[in-house]
Amino acid sequence: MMTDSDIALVARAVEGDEGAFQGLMEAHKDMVYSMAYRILGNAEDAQDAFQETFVSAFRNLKKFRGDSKFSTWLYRIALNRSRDILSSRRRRPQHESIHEEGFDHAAADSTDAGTDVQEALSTLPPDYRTAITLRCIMGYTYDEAADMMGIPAGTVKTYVFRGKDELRKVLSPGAAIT
Amino acid sequence: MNCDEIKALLYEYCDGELTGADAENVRAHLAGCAGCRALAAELTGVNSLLKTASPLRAPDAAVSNVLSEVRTISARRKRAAAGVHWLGFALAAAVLLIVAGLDAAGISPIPAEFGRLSSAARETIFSNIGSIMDRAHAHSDFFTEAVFYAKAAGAMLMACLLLVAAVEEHFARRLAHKFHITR
Repeated sequence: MMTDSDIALVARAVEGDEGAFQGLMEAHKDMVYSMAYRILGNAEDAQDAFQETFVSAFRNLKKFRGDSKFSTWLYRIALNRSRDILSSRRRRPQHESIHEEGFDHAAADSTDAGTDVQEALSTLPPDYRTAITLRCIMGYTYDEAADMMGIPAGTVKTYVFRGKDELRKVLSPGAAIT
Repeated sequence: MNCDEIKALLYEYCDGELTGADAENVRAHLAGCAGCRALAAELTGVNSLLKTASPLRAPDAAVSNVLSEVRTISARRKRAAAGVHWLGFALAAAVLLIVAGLDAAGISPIPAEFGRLSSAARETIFSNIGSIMDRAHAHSDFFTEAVFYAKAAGAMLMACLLLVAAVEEHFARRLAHKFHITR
């Protein structure tokens, strides 16, 4: 369910209060951007997804019924926008290679460890990256992640495990067990 | 349990999601198997790395762009709502003028043609006029505005057609009366 502040802000934003929408944005902007960036791997695409997410949320706020958390509704939009961008990127031949997807060191986390996370995530297939972002970084349950991705929870679990296995190989090139 | 069976459980074990006998079996196997222990250490390392991923800060430029777009959408909605009010009043005034004009010309304000319209057609007219009133108090984006104006145009067209039909009926009656034709 929504937090009290989200409920009040959504109600006011639906009535056309731009300040209320700005409040919602302030509360969730970093998580939306982080999610888009983890999935897309570069700042430019993440900004596009970020902007499209919030503009779409503002346009469709009346359709939000409060059946789920506002954050879940919002992050689902962000996930869909990110997937759309991934799909359009796949249609562009110059971005087919994982490394050409454009890992942006400058825009990554300020810490070395954070940069390593993003660099490692960028080597994963999009579905694995999305599942790991939702489950391991954003802390959603398998059921919640499954709901957001529109796939069974068992499949999310498989993606997470396979993704972690890929990450293990990337991070431990001399791994004895494969 | 052999190494393959353990490996199938190791991901959940390293995530702390394995309990009961399965967890005990994995723990016992790891105590005696260096290979699986190394794998468990690597998976734990992956988990630790993922935990370092803190939220990133959304760029100010992207936030500004969104707020600017939101202001544009809001302004458009307010203009559209104002336009809807104006259109609603204009339509109401047009209907009143038509009724008053018909009444002054000695024609029934509710033309006989209206009575002969199918109930579905009448319902459509009332529904279109009703939707104009509803929309007068609503916000909308470009698409719904387009639908609204199409409906408003449809309602006005229907009103014009009714007027034409009433005038035709009036003159037909006068001609029939003049030439003693029974209608």
